[in-house]
Amino acid sequence: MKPLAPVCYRCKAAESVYYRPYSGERLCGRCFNETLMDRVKRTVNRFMMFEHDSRIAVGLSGGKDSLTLLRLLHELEGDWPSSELIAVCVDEGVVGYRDEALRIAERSCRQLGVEMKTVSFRELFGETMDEIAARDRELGACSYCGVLRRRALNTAAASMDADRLATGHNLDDMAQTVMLNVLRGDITRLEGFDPGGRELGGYVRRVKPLCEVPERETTLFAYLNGLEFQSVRCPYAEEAMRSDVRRFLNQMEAKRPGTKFIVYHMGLKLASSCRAEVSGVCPICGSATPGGVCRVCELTGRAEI
Amino acid sequence: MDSLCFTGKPTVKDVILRLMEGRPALRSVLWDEAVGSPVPNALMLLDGVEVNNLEGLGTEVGDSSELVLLSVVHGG
Repeated sequence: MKPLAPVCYRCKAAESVYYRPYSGERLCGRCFNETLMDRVKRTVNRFMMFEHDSRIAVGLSGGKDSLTLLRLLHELEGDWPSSELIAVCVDEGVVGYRDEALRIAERSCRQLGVEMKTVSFRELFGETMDEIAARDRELGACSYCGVLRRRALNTAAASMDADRLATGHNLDDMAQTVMLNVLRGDITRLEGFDPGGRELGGYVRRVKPLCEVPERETTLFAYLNGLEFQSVRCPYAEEAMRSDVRRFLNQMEAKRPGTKFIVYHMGLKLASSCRAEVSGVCPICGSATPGGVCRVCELTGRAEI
Repeated sequence: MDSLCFTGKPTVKDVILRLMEGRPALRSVLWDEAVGSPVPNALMLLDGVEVNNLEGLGTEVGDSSELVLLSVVHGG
C-alpha cells in the first residue's frame, strides 16, 4: 500500500513529497519548485546579479547543479526579455567522466534552445586533466582543475561576449568554502566570497544564483523535473580537507537544521570586512592578479619556461 | 535485474541494508560507516515521497513500492 504523506503546507491541497528540515515545511512537488524559484529570484535581486539586458553565460558541467541553474535561469529569463542566456562548458579531458557530461549538457541546451560553447584544457593549456593528474605533482588534482577551470570558463564566457558568468555553486559549496578558510586560518581568502561577484578588469563578473539552495534541493529539483544529469563522481574528486568539512557540515545539518545557512551568513559578514584590491597584471599571460605571476601560469609551469 | 526477497514487511532501512550487501560501490556513497546509518545528504524517495516526509528509515516498504536512492554526489 502506498504510504500516506501529509498535505502540502503551502497550497494545502496536494500531497507533500518533501520535508524541509530547516524551515519545517512539507511541500508538494509544485510548491517545492515554486519556492526554489522564489529563493533564486530573491538571491539574484539581493546581490544585484544581473542587469535587465545582461548576456549571461551559464557554466555548464552536466551535473545536477548547473543543469538546475540553467533550467531556473531559462524560466526566469521571461521576466527580463532583453537579457540573453548562453552556456559555456569546459572539457577538462577526463576520459569516461567529462565526455558523458558534455553529451548531457549538449542535449539539455538543445532542448531549451540555448547556444553552447565548449573549450578544452588541451586547447587552452596544452594538457588534459588526465595528463596533469598523471604528472609528478605536489598538489591534489582538484587544486589544478579548480584554477584552470575557472580560467577556462572565463575565457569561454568572454569569447561569447557575456557580461555575467553564472555558476552552479550551491549553499553546501558556500558553507564548505567558509569553513575551509576558517580552518586554514586565512579568512582574507573570503574576499571574493560575495555571490554577486565584482567587476574585475579582464574577467567576466561571476555570480552564484544557487548560493542559498542546499545541494539536496538542487538534486531533488533535477530529479522531480526529469532533468538528465551526470551521477558519476569525478575520478579525481577526493580533496581530503573539503571532504572532511562536507561530512562534518552534513552531520551538523542533520542534527541542527539550518547550520549551513548560519555558516554561509557568517561567511558573508567576514567577506565584507576583508576586501582586497586586485590591481596587478601577470607578467606572463596578462591576467589580473593580486601580484606577480598568476596561479594559472604557476600551475601550468609556464612560469618556469 | 536482481531481486530481493523479504519475509514480513521490510522498512526502508532493511531494504537499503540488503541492497548494499555485496555492492561496495553503492555502500561507499550511501552509507556512513562512522555513524552506522545512511549519509545524511542522501535522498530517498518511496513512491515519489522523500522518506523523511514519511517515517524516515522506519517507513514500511510495500510489495509494489518503488524506492529511489539518490546519492548527492558533489560536483555539478
